[in-house]
Amino acid sequence: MTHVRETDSQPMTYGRHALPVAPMAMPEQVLERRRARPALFSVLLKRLAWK
Amino acid sequence: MVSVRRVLSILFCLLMAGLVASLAVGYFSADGIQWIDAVRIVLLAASTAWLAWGAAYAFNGLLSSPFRERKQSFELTPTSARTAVLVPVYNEDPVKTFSHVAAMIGSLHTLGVAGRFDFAILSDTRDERVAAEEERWFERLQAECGAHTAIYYRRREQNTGKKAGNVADFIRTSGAMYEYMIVLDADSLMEGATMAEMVRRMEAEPRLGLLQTLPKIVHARSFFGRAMQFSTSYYSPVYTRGLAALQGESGPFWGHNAIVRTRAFAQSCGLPELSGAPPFGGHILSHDYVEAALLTRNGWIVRVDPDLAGSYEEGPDNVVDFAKRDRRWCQGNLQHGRVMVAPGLKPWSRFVFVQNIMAYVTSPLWALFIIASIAAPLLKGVPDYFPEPGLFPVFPRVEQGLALTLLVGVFGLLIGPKLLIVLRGALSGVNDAFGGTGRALLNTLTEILSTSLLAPIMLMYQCRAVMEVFLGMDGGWPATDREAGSVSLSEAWSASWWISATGLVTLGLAFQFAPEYVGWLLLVAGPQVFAPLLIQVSSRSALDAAAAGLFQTADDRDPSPVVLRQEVILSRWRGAAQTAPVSQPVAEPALKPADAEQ
Repeated sequence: MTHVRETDSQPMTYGRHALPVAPMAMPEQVLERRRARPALFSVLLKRLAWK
Repeated sequence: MVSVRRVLSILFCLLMAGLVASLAVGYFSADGIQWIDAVRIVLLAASTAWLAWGAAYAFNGLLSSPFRERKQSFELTPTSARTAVLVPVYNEDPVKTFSHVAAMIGSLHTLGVAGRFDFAILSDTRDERVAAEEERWFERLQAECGAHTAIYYRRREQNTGKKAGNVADFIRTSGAMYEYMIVLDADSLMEGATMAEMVRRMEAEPRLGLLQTLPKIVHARSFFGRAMQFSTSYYSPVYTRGLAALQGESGPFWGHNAIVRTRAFAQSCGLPELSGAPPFGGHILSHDYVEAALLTRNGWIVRVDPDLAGSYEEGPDNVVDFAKRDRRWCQGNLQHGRVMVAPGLKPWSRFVFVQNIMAYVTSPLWALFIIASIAAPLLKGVPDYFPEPGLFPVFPRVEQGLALTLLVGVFGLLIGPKLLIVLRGALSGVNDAFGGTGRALLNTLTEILSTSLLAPIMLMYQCRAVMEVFLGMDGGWPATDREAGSVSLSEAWSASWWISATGLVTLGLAFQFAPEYVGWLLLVAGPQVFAPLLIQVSSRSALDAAAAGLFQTADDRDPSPVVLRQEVILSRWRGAAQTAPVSQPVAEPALKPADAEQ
């Protein structure tokens, strides 16, 4: 039952006992709110400066 | 019911904080209330609320525990689910870590379910010498256990994202093969029956995303380690029942000795780097609580089941190593201030983040309270001896009775729950496994005494950790040396001379400016002055005292088969390391009959 694989073809790992390949997606989660107000503020400032 | 418990517990904390604040008002108003008194009262009330919150866990645990705990008999249920057992390692001693893996595989094999579990040792080791040893001992592990189960070993080139990144890398490489993952630490140990039961519970509740066990500490050798081992064995089941009752389906994840549904974890727990530089930005250090919050955000249940026995870990054996680990946890918990405002989190998850921050911020609050108390006589000036016209002055009346009530109240929140646990253990029969009620009470009082002596030292370490984080210093990710033994006096001195100095300065200032507080301050500053000695003495071996019953636990009398198995394997391997080639398989260790009965 012991699985030993060569890892030359897998850039993420090295060593002689690599993991079986069965990928699962793991999307990055949103933890930080987008700072809407400073962006809006800077847009307004730019517009005022242009005028 | 969970909501009622939460509301009542929060009300209890507010009530305790209010009571302490009113007592403090009475005491501090002897010479008139001024702004410095208001500061002191707010600091005291906030700190007391935190102590009361700990007590609320214990009370909830005492109320929700079954009076007579029945040992559950394990039933093997058929399942086609495959489970990966993940063992992330980072510069730990490979012989020891792999002996844990071998013991767990042996336990599963005895049960006849080893084929359902694959073991993956996920190395983030940076030390090339340790990495070479890992490869070498993996050969040995394979030779002995490879016939029973699949075992993998891989080492990352970069340890991006630390442990969370290590597990995420496994999911992105191999996650689709497994319905469940049991996440362990390098020092974790679990009975095969416990692992199989965790899978059964996951199968029984499709909404369950994560199931946490309560790991008990094993293999402690020093006075400090044995005290912690006694705490996790005797008090923690009650506190964890309280935690489970209060948190409900938004339970905790402690990063190891837990099972997760791979799909749920992959869908919910991909952690981004926080914007900005460490300590507040960058990789999330205390990732486990964040992952629990993200699972509940996505509608998965996160639960802790304190009745799941057979789950073990090891702990630091001295104050210095404990403080090093605490420094890392402190930085991670303070980082939760960034995460707690993440969109979509359940309100309770946000509250848990507040608790995690409070766990470290309370120490500076106590320190500020002490500083304010010493400074108060200076800042308050001369009292008004003639508040009304007349010949006779009115002298300030120091209410020592109120001060004593205040002290008893605050200490009562700390030690009251522990004494109630002894009382309940006497009534329910739990104490029998701890050497009887007399022994359990004696050990509880000894633990309270040793905790009281070491708490002022830990307070200083936590204050320093909080200050360093706020000053922008990144503590990094030092490897935990769980086998570090006793600390010499010179090592203890170099690690804590500044605590002694702080204690002396505190007492000196108190003599000078607030002599009426010197007696009270001795409770805090006294242990600080003797910090090096206390650290050294508490790190000494307590194995002889343990044999005589000091900090006796249920596992001392009836050790878990997987723990015994690991000890036998480790001693065999360590003996063999000096005499035989490591890849040579050796016969199975002799085990006590109970091992085959589980």
